[in-house]
Amino acid sequence: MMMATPKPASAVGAESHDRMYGLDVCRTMAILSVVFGHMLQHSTPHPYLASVGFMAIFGVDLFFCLSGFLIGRILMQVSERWPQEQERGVMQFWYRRWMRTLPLYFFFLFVELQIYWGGASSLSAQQAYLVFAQNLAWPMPSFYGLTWSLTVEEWFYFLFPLLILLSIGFGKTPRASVLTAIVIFLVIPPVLRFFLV
Amino acid sequence: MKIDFRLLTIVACAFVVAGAAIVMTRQATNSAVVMEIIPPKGVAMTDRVPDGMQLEVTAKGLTLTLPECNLDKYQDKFFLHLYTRSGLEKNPPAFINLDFFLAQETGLAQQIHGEKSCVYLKPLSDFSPQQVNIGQFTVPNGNCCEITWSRTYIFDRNLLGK
Repeated sequence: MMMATPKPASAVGAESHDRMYGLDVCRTMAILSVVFGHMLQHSTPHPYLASVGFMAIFGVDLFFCLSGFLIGRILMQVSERWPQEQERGVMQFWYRRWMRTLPLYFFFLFVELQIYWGGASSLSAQQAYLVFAQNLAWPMPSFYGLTWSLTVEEWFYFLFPLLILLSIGFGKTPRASVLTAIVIFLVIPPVLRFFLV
Repeated sequence: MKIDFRLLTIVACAFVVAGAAIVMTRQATNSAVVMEIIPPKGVAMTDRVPDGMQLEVTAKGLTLTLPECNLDKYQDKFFLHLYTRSGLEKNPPAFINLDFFLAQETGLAQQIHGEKSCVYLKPLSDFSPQQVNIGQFTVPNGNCCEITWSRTYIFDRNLLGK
């Protein structure tokens, strides 16, 4: 009988957790509803289908919930080490996250710029897409519009760990810092939305 | 509670960099500044862009979207004037005339949320325009011209105010 080898400290946390079947089911439902929603947008569906088509929007909401749960869990684990690792820990987190999303994002941004002639034809318009600020243009341009949800995620990836680090800088424990960041994220965006929009 | 000033400084710098990126992007948001044409003397301006028609103009191309593919409201001739950098330096400014009738153009039919619309595309990138004027006009009783609506798109911000 083989003995279980203890995992090296560097492999603990972050992305080394076991896969959860339930989350995969949620992911499948989210993917299908987003595909289904976009399919309805570009077709003439049966009136019954058209009437339930609005539910497709919940696919993205589900993705956000999944992300919040998974990334939140990772952040809670890795931030335990941030009082020692400090900015190196955050940069490691960013590196892992961004390596998963940014290469593909920038590749398809480049492809879009080549084939979609109706948008982002000037450097100033492209600048927004380089720093994920396209959501701040209102009305949001139709060019590469699918990226709106990725933009939300990227800013979350950027700001949330910074808030945790800020709180750690003020001497709070990592757990309390995560809680502080959650409270700030729950309160500030709705307040800003109320006053700015 | 021990405050780590070094860490706070690093975080503050990160926030400042992010804020600066947003502010700079906000200042340079639109690819083109849209202005109304001030019609020359003797040319009447009667209306704005007809309801329902969507217009998207960039230096690369013009996209016109007609809901329901209904051409009835858009029988009048379109004027499409492109001003290149060298054309704008002339006095009076010279433009490339690409006037057209929509009925003679080929539109691509599409359906979004079950609603039909037609998209007309005109590539402009070959001309590298710095400014695009577009609108529709009529020639009442043979007297040119009555502009029914118009828009000016300026791609070079340095041209603003000229």
